[in-house]
Amino acid sequence: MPVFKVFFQILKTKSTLILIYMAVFMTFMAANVSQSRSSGETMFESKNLSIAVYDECRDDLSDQVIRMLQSDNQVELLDTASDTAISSEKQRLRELNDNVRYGIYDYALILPSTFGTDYQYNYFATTESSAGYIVSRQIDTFLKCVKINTEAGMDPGAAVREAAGVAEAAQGAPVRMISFPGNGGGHSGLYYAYKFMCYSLMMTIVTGICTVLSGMKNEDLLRRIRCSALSNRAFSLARFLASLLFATAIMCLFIVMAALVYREDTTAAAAAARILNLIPVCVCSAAFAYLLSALTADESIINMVTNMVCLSMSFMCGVFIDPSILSAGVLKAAQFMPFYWYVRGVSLADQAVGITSPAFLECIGIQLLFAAAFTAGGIVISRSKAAGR
Amino acid sequence: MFGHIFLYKTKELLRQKWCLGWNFLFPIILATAFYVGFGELIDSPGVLTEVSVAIVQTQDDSTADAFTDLVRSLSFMDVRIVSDDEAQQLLKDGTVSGILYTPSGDAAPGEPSLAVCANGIDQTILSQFLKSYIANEREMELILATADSPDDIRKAADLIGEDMSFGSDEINLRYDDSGAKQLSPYMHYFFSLIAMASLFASWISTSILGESMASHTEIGKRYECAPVPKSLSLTAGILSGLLTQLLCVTCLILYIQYVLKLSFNTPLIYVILLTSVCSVTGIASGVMFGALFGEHPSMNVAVPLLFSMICSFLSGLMVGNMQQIIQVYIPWLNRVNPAALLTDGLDSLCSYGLSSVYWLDMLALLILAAAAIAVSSLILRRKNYASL
Amino acid sequence: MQQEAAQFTPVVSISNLVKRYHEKVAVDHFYLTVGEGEILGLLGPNGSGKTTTLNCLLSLLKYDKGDISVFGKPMTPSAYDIKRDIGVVMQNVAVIDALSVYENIDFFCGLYIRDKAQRKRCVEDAIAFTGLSEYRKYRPKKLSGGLLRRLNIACGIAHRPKLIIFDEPTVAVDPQSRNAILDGIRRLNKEGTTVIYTSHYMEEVEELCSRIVIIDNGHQVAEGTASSLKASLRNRETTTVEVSRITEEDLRSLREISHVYDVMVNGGTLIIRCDGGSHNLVHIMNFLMERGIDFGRISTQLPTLNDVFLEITGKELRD
Repeated sequence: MPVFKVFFQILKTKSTLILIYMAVFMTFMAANVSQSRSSGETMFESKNLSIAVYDECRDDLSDQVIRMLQSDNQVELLDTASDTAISSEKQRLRELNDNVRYGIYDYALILPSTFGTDYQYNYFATTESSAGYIVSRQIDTFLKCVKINTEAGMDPGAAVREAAGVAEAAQGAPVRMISFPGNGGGHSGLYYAYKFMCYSLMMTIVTGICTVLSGMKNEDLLRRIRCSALSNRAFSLARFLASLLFATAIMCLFIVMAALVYREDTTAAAAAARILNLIPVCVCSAAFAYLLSALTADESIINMVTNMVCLSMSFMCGVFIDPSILSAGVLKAAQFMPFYWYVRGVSLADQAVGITSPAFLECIGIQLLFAAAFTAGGIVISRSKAAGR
Repeated sequence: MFGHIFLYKTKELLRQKWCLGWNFLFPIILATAFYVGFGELIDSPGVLTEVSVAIVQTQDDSTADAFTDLVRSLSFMDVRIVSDDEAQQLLKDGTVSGILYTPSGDAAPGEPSLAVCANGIDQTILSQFLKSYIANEREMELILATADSPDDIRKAADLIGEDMSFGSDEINLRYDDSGAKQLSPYMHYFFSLIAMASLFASWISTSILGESMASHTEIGKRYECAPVPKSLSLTAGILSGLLTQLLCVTCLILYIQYVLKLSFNTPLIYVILLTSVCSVTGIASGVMFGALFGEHPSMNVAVPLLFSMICSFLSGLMVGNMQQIIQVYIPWLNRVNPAALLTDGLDSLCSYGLSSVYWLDMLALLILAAAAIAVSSLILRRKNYASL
Repeated sequence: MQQEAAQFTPVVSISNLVKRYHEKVAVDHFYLTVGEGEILGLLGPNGSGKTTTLNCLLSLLKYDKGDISVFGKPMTPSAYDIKRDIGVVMQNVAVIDALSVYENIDFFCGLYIRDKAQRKRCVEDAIAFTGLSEYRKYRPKKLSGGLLRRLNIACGIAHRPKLIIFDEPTVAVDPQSRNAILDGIRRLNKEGTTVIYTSHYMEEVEELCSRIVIIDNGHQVAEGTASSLKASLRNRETTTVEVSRITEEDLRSLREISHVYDVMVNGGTLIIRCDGGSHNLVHIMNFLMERGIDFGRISTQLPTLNDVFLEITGKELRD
């Protein structure tokens, strides 16, 4: 009990620091979610792409292309007149290229002055971008129709009109949406919040616990405690339980924050699954903190290792980037990290597979195994250090 | 005297575990993790992400076969030909993004259809493919209805069968004639990492400052009692920190270029130069933190860490396009964030070559460094050692 | 208390020093003069103002009032020519963990001595002086407490200063190392170094210092050699006798013995204080035997600096 109490007394003195860490990581989480979320839909709509158009041609053909793109995309027409902020055409194009590379626009279309005659256009899209295929295909299909109409003897105006008619008719392509339970289409803010939460949670918990435990690591202090009537086992247990309680409190704060900020319709089952999936992360974090504090009392080394582990794991397990872009080899290696199973659990929760499903339970179980491994490691190291004294 | 302090400080730093860990080892390990995670995407030429689709042949005829063959001919389509029930199960599991039904009696005669369960890029690709197919059909009908002669019809039919592409993304945007290829946006993560590593220099200078102040440490008292002007000992210490930091970031840059084999598309000297200036800014920031918070040991660890993490996050370390988003909505923030200045400079340099953007970013970094040093000087001048 | 000018060349002169921390006056009109070649002991309980005085002397602290001069020149933070001849051994160990013993001494010596060859000689001498020859490549973390203290001293004296200030250098040090430290200080002093030695261990100060200044509540309460301080006491000798019984009349008669000025009984122990004279014990024993008073163990104590402090301030030196 006294060790348990003193843990929280020390925590109180470090509370400002811990709150700062929490605020920073919560902000990271919110920024990440705002970039990633989409709302659920029940009927099919083509992905609304963000397209920038730079039209130097300004004739019927280019106007029609733009109108066609505007029908199911967000099109921004860039001013071709001189802009005081832009010094040259190449500079304009570089800015456009940067905006596409970093996702401000999905696609940038440049219609040169000769577009009306040779139908040749330029574009920017990221090299593996599906947006590039979609928009280019749409434009190429239209231009192909115009070319065929022209070759068939129609005058330019009629060729464009007829091609527009064909394109409009093709817009009615039969696409139907099938609704499966739990699948609202796309991922909600809560999905992305919980996905990112493992990183934020682990960083806050490990940093917080280690900050407190390092305050209890003074050699003379430990000697004093070892001379007392309190057994080593009781001492370690008290510290571990206090760490766990702290971790749980932090986890609850994150859950409440996510629920308040992302007030979306979610089923009770999905909510329960998300929270259940988060508990092993909380336990893992406490166990990892215990392992680290057994290894060293140096706060800067602890911070360094925590950052290294959390950031690397987050990248490799698909917390920061979409797991679908990671190679099979990486995903296989990621299976040896707790975050991989957590992210998998978040996906399963989003699909409303149910907390009793074997796949979901597997994710929980493996995460808890990692926690057990960290705890065991911490115990072994503590004992060997004690034996070495 | 200056040389004596400089040499010993450098020796001390190179032996500190935390210094080597944070400033040398951590960035290299993280770079390796990045490379393992998405290095292939940087190296490989642009490949459209595969779209998985199930095809259900509603009728066993040549039209259905021709449609199936057409879908299979597209390199980015991962096709499975299955029954309707199997297709629905695959769609539910998320194994396929959509189900294409070959022309059947349900839809308009000759028209295929698509079933999806979500709205997304893959589904839009499938619907766009469907629209192109239907547009070709409609165009052929139009030509048949309006063509004057069989020759026109034949010509039109040949043209419809052709895969036409009118667009080009081959635009040379570089300032030089190096002909270097377009830089992958994933390299931005590495630039952010380099920025974070440069800003870790703040840790070094915070600890050097703390150690030299009599009010913070006993060693600081020794310094104060010694016949060495504080400015000289501090300067020597800070320069040794800078040298250590430069060694660490140079190793990181060389590691990325030669071990991970990710090219910067530009002579390395410019990369190292800009990174060095960012390190100077990091060191100067650390001096400022040491002057402001030096009396609180926990802050000495937390403040440089949070500073580096926040600046790096805002420059795109975790959310790849964060810097660009800030550039659109809060552009001034990128001008005062040293990590964003470095990534912007490196991005411009590596994508387009040496330009005014590079030099302006370097100037902005130097201004930030000067401002931090000015603030530190003001604070340190007023500090009196006092304790009870 | 105004300090009379000493008949020697003052190396350090502190005059009317006042230092306040908000409401608390840490140093209260303090005067101190240290002559060349002296070992001056600055003795006082915890919180008496010893360290504050030294910090003011070293220009580590700004003070509110007073003058401080060293080697005849005013002491300021930028008086580097004066600082070059001062060595400081801090109360807490002030060494760099990442450097070895040799490197630590070389580094700190290098802050005073630029010439490489001279510095090398000084470092070797300091290592030999403090008995750290076999530990020159060790890092501070590998050294015991006593060795660490020796390293701390070596770092402070390697540059052969003319004035060395030791601020409680033997705290938490084993007796063997402590004796080695005190011997070392004596040797330094023999070579002509002036020493200011602060401590709250009166035995050390008594043993080592040629002159003692006792400080309490920030001002000087006594000054002189150990023997002159004790001689200033009324109580020159305290005799303790175990007695079985003694009457009031016996006590009154005992008080009438010459040089006995105070008699008290504490349980079964008779405590007799004498203010001078000789053979006091013989007179007391004769008295007891004449009166037929049974007695057991007898002991006699000469006064200590603690007695000096107690008589002047009314409290113990060790609080």
